Amino acid sequence: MSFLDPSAIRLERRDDQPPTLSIAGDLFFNVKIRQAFPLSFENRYITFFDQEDEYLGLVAEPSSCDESTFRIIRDEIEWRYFRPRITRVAEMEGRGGTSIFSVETDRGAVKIPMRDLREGMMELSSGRILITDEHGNRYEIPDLDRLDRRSRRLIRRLI
Amino acid sequence: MPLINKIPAELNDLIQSDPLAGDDKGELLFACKTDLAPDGRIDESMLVVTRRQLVVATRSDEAWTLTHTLSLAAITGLTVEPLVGASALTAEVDGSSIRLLRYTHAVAQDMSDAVESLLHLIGPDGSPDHTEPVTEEPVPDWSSREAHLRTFRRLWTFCLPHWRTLVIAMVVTIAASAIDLLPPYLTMILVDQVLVDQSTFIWLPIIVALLAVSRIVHTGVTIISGRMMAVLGDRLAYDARSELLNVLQLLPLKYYDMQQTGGLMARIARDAKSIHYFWIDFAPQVVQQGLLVIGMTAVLFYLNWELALLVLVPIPAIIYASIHIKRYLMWFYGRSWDSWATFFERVNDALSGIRVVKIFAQEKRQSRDMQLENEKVFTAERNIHVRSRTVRPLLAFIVSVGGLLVWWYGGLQVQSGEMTTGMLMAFFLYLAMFYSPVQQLTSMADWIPEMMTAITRTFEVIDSPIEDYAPAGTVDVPRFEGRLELQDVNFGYVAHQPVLKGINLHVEPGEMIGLVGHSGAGKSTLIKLMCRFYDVDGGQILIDGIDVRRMDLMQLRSQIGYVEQDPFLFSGSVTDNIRFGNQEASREAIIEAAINANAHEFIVKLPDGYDTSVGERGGRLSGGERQRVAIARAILHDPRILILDEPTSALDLETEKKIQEALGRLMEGRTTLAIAHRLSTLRDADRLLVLKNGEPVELGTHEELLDRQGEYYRLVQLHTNVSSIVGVEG
Repeated sequence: MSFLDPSAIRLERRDDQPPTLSIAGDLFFNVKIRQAFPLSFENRYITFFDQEDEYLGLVAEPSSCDESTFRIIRDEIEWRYFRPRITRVAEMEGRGGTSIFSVETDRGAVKIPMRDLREGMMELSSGRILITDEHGNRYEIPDLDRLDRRSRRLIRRLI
Repeated sequence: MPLINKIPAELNDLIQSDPLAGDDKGELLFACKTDLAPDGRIDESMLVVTRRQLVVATRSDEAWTLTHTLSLAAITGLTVEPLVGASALTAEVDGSSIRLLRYTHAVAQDMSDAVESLLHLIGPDGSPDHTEPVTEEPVPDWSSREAHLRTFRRLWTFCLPHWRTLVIAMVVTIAASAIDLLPPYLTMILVDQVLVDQSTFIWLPIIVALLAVSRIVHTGVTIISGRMMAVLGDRLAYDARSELLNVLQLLPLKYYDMQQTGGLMARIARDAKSIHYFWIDFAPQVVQQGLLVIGMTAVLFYLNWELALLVLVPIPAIIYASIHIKRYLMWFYGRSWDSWATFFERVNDALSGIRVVKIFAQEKRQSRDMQLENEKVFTAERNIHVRSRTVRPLLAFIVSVGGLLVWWYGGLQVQSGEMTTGMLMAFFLYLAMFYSPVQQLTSMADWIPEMMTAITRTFEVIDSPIEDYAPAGTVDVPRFEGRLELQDVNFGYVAHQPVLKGINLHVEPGEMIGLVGHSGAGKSTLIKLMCRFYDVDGGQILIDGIDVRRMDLMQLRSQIGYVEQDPFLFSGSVTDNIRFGNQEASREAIIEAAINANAHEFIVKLPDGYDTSVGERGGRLSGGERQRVAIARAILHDPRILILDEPTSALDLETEKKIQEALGRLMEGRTTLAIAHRLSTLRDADRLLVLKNGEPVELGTHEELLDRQGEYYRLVQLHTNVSSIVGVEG
C-alpha cells in the first residue's frame, strides 16, 4: 500500500467536486492529494488520502498515469498549494520594522509584508526563492535570473 | 607526572640496603610519585616497583623512610578505594589487607597507570615482561615564557602560506617608515638655510614641494600596506576559525563533557578574532614603530649625540614600567575573559530554556541572574579600563621628561652658538615622532596580554588531541556480522571512580538484549562505550571477535545505529534529517524508511511534506514525531548493531503503538542493545541484563528473571505499579 502502480490508479472528477480515486477497482470518494516534497520535487511523489484523511498510498511518477488522471492530479495540486510565482518586484519599502514588497505575480499584483527577512526568505536551490510573509502566505521566485535587473537587485540585496 | 624510571639515589640506596627484603630485590622497573604521607601530611611519597618487590617510601625532613616492603609474588590483589578527596591503595597479602598509601586526585591518573602495570606483576604468576613502557624522563614543565614563544611560533605557521603578501606588506611598511624621517630634516634646511638668506629664497617652493611629495607618498604607501595587512588579517582569522570548526567536530566526546557550549562559542567568535588583531594591528605597528624608533635614534645621534643621549634618559623607565604593567594587567584580562564566557553561557542557557523559564514563572529570577553576570562583566571590564587609563598618562608623563631635558640643554647650546635654531626645531619634530612610537609600543603592552591569552586559548583548542580515528594496526571490517562480546569490562569517567565493573556479555548476531536497572546503574555508560565515545579502562569490547579499539572509528560507528531517548534533529528539512547518515539516499529510499518508521503519514500531511523545516533541534515537531523521524534516520543508516535508548516519557497510546511497531521493524535482523523501560520491550527482548551500581546482577529472559524473584522482579513490580497509575502499560 505504500508505492502505488501508476497504471493501477484512476482519478475521476465531476465539476467542482473532489475527485474519486480507484485503486485496482476499489473506489475512494472525495480524496485529497498532497505532494510529499512540495518544495523540492513538485511534480513527483504524490500522496492520496481518503475523505477521513486516512493515508491511501503514493505514486512516485504521476506522469506515468493516464492523461486525464495526471491532469486531475495537477489541478488538485494547483488547487491545494496556493503559491503565486513572482514575476516582477516593483518596489521595496521599510515601514517601522516591516518591509513591504510590491510585486507582480502570475496571480496578480500584491503587497507582501515581511517582518523577519532572514526567516522569511529561503533560497531553496540556486536562484529559486521561497518567500513567506508575516501572515504565512507563500510566494515563489522560480528563477531569480529570469527576473528583470531591478527586481534581481532588490532581491539579491536580501539573500 | 607519569610513571618514572629514576628515583632519588638516596632512596635507591635505602631500598638496596633494606635488610628485611633480603638480597634479591631485582632492578627498578618503575616508580610513581604520590603526594600524601602515611599520617596524612601533604608530602612526597613514592611507590617503587622493582623486579621482585613493591616498596612504599615517604619523605619527611628531606630524609626517605620505607613504610612498606612487599614481595610481588606474595601480593594476591590490589584495590584502589575511592575516599573523599583522596584514594587509598590496598594490597592483599596472605589473606589480609594492607593499606599501602593514600594519594589525592592530583595523582590519581598516574597511580591508576601504576596499578594497571602492577597487576601484571603481582602474584605467583606475575611477569615483568607485560609492563607498559614508562616515560624516560619527566615531561618538562613549560614556563609561561616558553608557552608564549610557542604561541608565537604557532602564529607564524599560520602566516606561512601567505608569506609573499606578508613580505610585500612589510617592505611597504619599511618604506613608509623611511619616508617619515624626511620632513623634519627638510624643515631644518628650511629654517637654517632658506629662511635666513634672501639669496636662497628660491629654494622655498622646492622644499615645500618636497615636503608635500613626501606626505603624499607616505599617505599612499600607508594605504597600500594597511589594505594588504587588513586582507591578510581577515584571511588568517578565517583560517583560524576554519581550523577551530574542523577540530570541534573531531574532538572526543570527553572534551565536551568538560566544556560549556557558551564558552566554546565565545572562543570561536572572540578569540579567533584576536589572530586578526595580531596581524592587522599589532604586527605592522610593531614593525613600523620599531623601525621608526631605530631610524630616528640614528638620525638624532647623527645630528647631536649629546642631546640624543638626553632623549634616551626616560627610555629605561618606560620599558621597566611597561613590562610591569603587562604583568599587572594580564590578570585582569583573564578575569574579563572568564566573565564574558560565563555571561554567554548564562544567556545561552536562559534563551534555550525559555519555555521552562516561563512555565515555572521564573522570568524575574532569570533576569536577575543574568543581570548578576552582566554586573560581573561590567566589573571586570571596568577594572581593566580604569587601570589602563591610569597607567597610560603616567607613562606619558615619564616620556615628557625627555622633552624638558632637550629644552634645557638644547636651549643652552643654541644660546652659545653650538647649535642652530633649525637643528633644535628638527630635534623637537623628531622628538615628537620618537616618543610617539615608543609610547605606542608601550601602550601595546595593554593588548599583548589580552591578545596572547586569547590566541593561546585558540591554539589550546586547535591543538587538543582529537579522536584517534584510525589507530595503528586497524583491522578492516566493512560489514559486521553483529556478534558482540563484552569481556570483563571496567570503566570510570574519573580514574578513581568505576562506573562499570566486570561486565561480561555475549550477544549473537540478531539477538536483542535489554538493559535494565535503576537510573545511575550504568546503562547509558555501557551504551557510550559501545559507540566508543569512551574507551574501556579494563577488559575489552569485541565485535565479531575484534577489539573495537582496533577498528577504524568511522567504519565502526557507520555500522552502529543509535536512537536516543530524546532524539536530536538538526534544523533543516525532514528529508535532510532522515538522510543524515546517508546523503546519497534516493527519495524512494527516504520514503521507504519513513513508511517503516510509521512517519510517512504524518510527514505528508504537513503542508510542506518532506520539505518541512523542523526548526532548531526539531522543535516544530512533537516528541512522538521527532522519535519517528529519528527511527527513520536509523533505518536508512542501516546499521548492523542497533543501540536504543527507549524514551521514558509516556506518549498517547496510538503514538506509543506506532513507535513500538517502528522500533520492531528497525530491530529486525539487527543485533540490538536497548535500554528498556517498557514492559513490552522487556518481554520481547531475547535476554535481559540487569545492572546494579555498575555491576551485572542478573541475565536471562523476562520469564526466567521473574521466576527468580530477584532484582528484576522488584524493578518490574515497581514499573507495573507506576504504569497502572499512568495507564500506558505496553
